[in-house]
Amino acid sequence: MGTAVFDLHALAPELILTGVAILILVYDLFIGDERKWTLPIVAAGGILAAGIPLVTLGLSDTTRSLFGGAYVVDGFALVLKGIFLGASFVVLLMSAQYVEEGDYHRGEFYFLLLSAVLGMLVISSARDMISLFVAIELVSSPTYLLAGWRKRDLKSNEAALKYFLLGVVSIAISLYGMSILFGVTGGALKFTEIASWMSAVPSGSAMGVAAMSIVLILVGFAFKIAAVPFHLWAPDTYEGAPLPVTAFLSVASKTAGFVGLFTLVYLAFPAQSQVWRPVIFGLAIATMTVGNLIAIKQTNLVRMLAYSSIAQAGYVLVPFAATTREGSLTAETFASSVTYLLIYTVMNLGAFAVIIAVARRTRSVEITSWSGLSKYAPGLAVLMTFFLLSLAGIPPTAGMWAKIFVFRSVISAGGLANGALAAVMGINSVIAAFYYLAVVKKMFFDPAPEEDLEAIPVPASLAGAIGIMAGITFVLFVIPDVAVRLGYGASLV
Amino acid sequence: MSNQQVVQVIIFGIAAALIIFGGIRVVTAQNIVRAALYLVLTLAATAGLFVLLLAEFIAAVQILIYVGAVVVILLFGIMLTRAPIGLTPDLDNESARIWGLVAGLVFLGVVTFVLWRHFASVPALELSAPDSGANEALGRSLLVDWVAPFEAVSMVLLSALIGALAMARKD
Amino acid sequence: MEFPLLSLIIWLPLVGALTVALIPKDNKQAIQTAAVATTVAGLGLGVWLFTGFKQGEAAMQMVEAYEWIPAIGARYIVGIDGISLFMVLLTLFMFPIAILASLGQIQDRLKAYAIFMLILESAILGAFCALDLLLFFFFWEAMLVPMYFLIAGWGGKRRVYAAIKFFLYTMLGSAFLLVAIFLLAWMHQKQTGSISFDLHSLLDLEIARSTQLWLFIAFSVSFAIKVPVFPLHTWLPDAHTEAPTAGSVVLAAVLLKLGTYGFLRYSIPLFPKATVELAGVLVVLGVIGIVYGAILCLKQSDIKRLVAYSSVSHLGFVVLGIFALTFQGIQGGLLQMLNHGVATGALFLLVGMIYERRHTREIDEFGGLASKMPVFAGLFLVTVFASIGLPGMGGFIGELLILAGTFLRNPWIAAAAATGVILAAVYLLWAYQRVFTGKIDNEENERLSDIGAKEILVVVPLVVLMLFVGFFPRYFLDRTEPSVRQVLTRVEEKGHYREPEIPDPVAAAEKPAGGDSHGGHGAMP
Repeated sequence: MGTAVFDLHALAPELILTGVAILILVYDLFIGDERKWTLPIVAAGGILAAGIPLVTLGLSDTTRSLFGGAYVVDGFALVLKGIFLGASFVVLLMSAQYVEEGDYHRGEFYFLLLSAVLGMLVISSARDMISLFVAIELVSSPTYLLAGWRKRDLKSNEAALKYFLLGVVSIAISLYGMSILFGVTGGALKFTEIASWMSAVPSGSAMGVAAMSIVLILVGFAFKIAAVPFHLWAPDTYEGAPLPVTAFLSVASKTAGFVGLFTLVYLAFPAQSQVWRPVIFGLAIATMTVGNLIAIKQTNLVRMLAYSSIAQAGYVLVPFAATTREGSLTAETFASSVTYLLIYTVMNLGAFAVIIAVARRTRSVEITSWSGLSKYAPGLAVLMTFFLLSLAGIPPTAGMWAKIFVFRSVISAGGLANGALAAVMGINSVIAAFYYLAVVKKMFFDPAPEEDLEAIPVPASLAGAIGIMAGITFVLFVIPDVAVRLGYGASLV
Repeated sequence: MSNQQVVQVIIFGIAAALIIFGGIRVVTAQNIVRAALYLVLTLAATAGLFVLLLAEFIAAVQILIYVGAVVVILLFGIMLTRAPIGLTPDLDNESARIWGLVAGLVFLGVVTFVLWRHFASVPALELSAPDSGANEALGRSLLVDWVAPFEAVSMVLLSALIGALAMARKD
Repeated sequence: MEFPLLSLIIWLPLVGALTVALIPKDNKQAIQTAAVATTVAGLGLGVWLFTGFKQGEAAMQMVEAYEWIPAIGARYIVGIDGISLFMVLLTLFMFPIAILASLGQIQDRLKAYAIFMLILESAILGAFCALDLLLFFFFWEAMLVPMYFLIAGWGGKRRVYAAIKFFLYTMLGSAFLLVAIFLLAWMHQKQTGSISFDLHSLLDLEIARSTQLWLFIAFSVSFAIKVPVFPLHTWLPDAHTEAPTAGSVVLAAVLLKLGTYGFLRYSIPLFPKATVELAGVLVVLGVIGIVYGAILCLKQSDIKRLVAYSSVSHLGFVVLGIFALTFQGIQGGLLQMLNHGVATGALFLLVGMIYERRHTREIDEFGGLASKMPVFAGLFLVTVFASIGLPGMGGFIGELLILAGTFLRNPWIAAAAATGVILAAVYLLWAYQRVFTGKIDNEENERLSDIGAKEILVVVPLVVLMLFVGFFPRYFLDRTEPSVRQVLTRVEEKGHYREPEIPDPVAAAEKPAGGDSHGGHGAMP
């Protein structure tokens, strides 16, 4: 235990974000109601400030390893942190007006949001079981509370309680698995130690225990990404939570779960792909299919998007499940997952931003209340169509490339099982197109309700969120190379 | 097996039985105050396990914080708010209970089978008796090697605290 | 660097769409002018393309190649040969007509309409010119959204249903296509070490027979949905009937050709072995399509639906010609693609004109229109003749070549297909008779006036083209010949296949025709 020399540069994003989070808490105490509107600005400033060291770290182009390899800042961490900060910034833009009009506790709201983002930054760099567990807790506990932020609404209470109970149970199962793994490996905590133990002990009785613990650990993260059959919380929680929180959960929180899964599978358990690959194979197929099939029946737009986001998680899982002939993991499969996540984040946030904008008028997220939207809010209808097309993977949107890259990685892995995977995914994208189009149809071809059909005013921050997301979705459609490069840059393989 | 090991196994058995019993009662108790008291039992018995693992400091922390602080605050919370004390049968769900039991038993069966079958051959971790510098080592470990997760945990607690306040506050 | 004429042609309509997007939506005059000017300018570029095309060359011409997505090896490669030349020209020709025809009809949301039409034109042109499979897929998919909105936004009563059906069918097809494209690219990586979607490098791949079969099926399902080949045709009557006139024109004249074009450009050259083995299946499906489509036509009471089903029948001819795998067959198929585009496009235009006047398409509602609308009736009759394939019309040459090509392969199939010609004459002339001849027995028709100069102007170029193809088919066939030869040579070399030769009359007398019935008794290992 020598003297500690912290690489402050590497930790700067986390430190800045912590500082701003606590600053918000204190600042909130000293300002009156008339100044509360500055809170989201401070929070957004904090996120942007945390992004600065991210850029400088990216430019320095060296992998930094802290605490004996327990905390690593590499390409993967940087790209994912960038996604998290970007997504949270947009969620902030979406929440500013929403939180103000809803008369919620604002200072606490932004504090909790930033805490969760901090957890996401930590999880991107966590390379040992303890950091991983703490980080996923830091992501989760603020979001449990945020989901119930509309206190007087029973649905919101239900959302928070369901999310909390199921979340705690599943993360406890993960923790149980981690503790067993700790025992069986003789005290290995860091992913590198676990990986070398696993490749050194090819089989035998210890491996049986380790295999079980791998499966148990994965359960907690399967919950976080709402993979079927660990998805039951998602629709209720998404429906009940305040809309910006739902957007945050469906994007950032889900991505955090994926980050955990990525690092575990590719860094800690690469040698034991025969254990986790079948699990993920099953999860991927079930998640895509069940998510899409149930989404068809939904009459509530947010629930529909909840199920659609379940299905989308299935697409991200697909490259994991792809078995290469050599059994090894390729940079290509990894990159396609990250690219998908990146594009999914953008398009899903865009869709939610439009929903928030429209719900300000319709006061409802029932799909029927969107009838004839194009008559009185043509801009929003067109943008919503754009995001839905992207989710369906249809040009002219980035979503098309996201799907194509995943397809490519599965197919280039070859083999019958992967072919089946690609086929299931292909069929699913047709099913998905069906329910996305149903919304498009409602907006454009159904009669508008009788009431006043004035244009919907969109607050500047929300308009900014929608605009940024639409812009990125389109730019990535024109030059997908950027997304692919980020994906490869993030590769852990 | 030496005498010392026999004693260890017996103590472990007692502590484990108390934990399981307490845990089950926490969930099944009809009265929330009783549930809290069973929680005390569970947490105290867990402290016993820490002692067995030669981690006296952690055992002490466990008693002080969990038994002494957390549960007491919990009880205060129950008393001071107007939460209903007593039977709450309308919150029980019979069919869910059965399925929960089935799922729990299956899980228990699988885990027991795997551990029973395979864990015996896993070499035990070497434990060393704590010397006078144990707490110093612990402190170093927490604040040097594991400072990142340690600080992250403090943020977890802070956010839980703030969030709980915002949730519970009248407005 | 050569002048990027093809790129200009492909992207000009998109630029037009962006221009239209900038015009305020109330300024309908400016929107119309911009849309028409864009498409007419495109046609002008098409003339330039035609004159610049080197006749007698089989290879791709005017090729442009740039990096596109280097990370996955996709490139922007466009070029044309004899096979795609006329498809591009047909597209450039039909779009101004379709837009001109819709000028009076579309009043509601004209701006969005013009934008979608122009985007659609860009996507179609791109798909015909693309020589990189991923680029092709990109354009292929890009057609979906504008077409969906055109049908669902400006179509008939059941338009939304028809639009979604069209969309889902096509998406299903493209899922297969995408998988197959990536499999090819991956095999390229295995064999050469670098990933590529370039059609030319993919043609050099050595693909095992069984793999070829699977890939051929994947490609062909996708194309067969587009054509449509029986039994994947069920989306077509709905989409064609419910689409607005210009949409139907574009669908029938151009979009369907992408399917048959795909067969010729991708399925056959990439998978020659599979082509030889599975050609029989497609030939049979083609014949079923011809006869089945024709029979359905006989039963239709809605004249637009009748024209829609006639497409199934006519495209059956094209499929038959292509998969007869004879020089005459493919040449005829290509010519027939052109003919069908022009003739059916004209039929949809004419049906649209009468629908505008009477707001019904039921054949029984009409009768004796010839006396009130002589010019209209005359133009309709000429178009019907072209569609039937009367001598002097393009359709005659096309069908003759197809039947001749098929006859070399299998006389019985040719005989079965020939019934389609007869049936076409029956259903089209019968429909003509019920609509135009006799006395007017429905009062509503008394008030009808003949079509105006504007409408005549729209149809006349199509009629001229029908006649031109009928009298001077060499103009087209000479330019397609080298490319068709090249495709066939490739199938012969790689597919162990020998094209049936035109029998020597003397030998034929000794050995009855039909001996060569099962084409392609290649020595398959």
